[in-house]
Amino acid sequence: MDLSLRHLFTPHHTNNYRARVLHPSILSVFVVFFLAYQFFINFYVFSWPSVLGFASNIAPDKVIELTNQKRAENGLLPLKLNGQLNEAAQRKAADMFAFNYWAHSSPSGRQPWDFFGEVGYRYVYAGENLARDFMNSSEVVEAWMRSPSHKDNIVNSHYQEIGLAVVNGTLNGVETTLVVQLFGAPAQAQASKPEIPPIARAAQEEVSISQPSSALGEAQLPVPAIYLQEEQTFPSFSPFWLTKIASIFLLGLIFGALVLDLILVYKFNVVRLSGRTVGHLLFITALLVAVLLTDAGAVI
Amino acid sequence: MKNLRDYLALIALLSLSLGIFWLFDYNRHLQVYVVAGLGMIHFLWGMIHHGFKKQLHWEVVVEYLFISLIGSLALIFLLLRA
Repeated sequence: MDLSLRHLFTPHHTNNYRARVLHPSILSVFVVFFLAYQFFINFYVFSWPSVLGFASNIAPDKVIELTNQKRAENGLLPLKLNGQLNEAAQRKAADMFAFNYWAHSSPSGRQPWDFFGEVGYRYVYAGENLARDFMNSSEVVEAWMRSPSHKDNIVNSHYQEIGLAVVNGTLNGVETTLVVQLFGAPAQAQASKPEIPPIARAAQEEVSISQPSSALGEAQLPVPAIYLQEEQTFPSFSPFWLTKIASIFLLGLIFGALVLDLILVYKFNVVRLSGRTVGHLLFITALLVAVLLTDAGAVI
Repeated sequence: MKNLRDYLALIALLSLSLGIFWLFDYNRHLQVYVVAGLGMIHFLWGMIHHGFKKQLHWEVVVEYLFISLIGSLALIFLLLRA
């Protein structure tokens, strides 16, 4: 056992003075295992949808409060909550779950402004911010503020009203919390402007993470979504966290073997043919930092 | 320290990539490209460094290739799940 561990993790005459876990043969096994693990997560997600999910702690009131706080910091008036915009936001979220997409435009052909029209909200300016899988209200608003196009919506002097929906449902087989934030300037408030300018959207490019549902008629079915009115927590394990744990474990294992290698090779003055341990260590350290910097949650 | 100049160049490139990764944390697609770039930087650095030292053997090439690949894959899959 002791010899096996030494063979695996330390430079030794049995492994040609390079820890076995750093040999290409074992590294290739790691690659295969990691890919198989990802395949297993996908298989699990699609075989037992809704089992894996995301713990959400987002409150609509708090998101609006934080949004208005950001506007105040930029010398702008607060946005008034509008019931029609709330309804439009809930319809948009329901459409996203029904058609299983993560984008501004629906596979059904509906555009963001269509939801404004459906609830009878006439506007001269309108905008939409989307977010998913954040831990709490503050993280959502901070992520939008870091993105220039989303920030433009939040601190836009044209907007006077806001609507928001925080909805739990299943997207691509995974329990997801969607946040839809709609902005508007009602038409009657600026009646002197006859033309309706194009909608201001947060993202210029639309990224769909899924194929449109093959049965579009399913969109007419009741949407399995939960509309949140206050902060709630749903304890669950998400594919993101399962992947993050695996990534940290894998990179940590290689990091540990490299550190041992560096120390022992220096101590015993070993000469051998191999890559530079310091170079590998710098690369793996950079990746570990990047993994730790990466949190769940996305905005478009 | 031997190879200090080469290591400083690698540190500079990795730090720059990490900075871009952090700065654009709202753009997952860009982050995926940055991580792929990190893998390329590590691999190419190894090839150039060992090439200049006339120590570029296929075992070394494969070692850099696999460490670059496994590191990049671990992070790219994480970004795709985020």
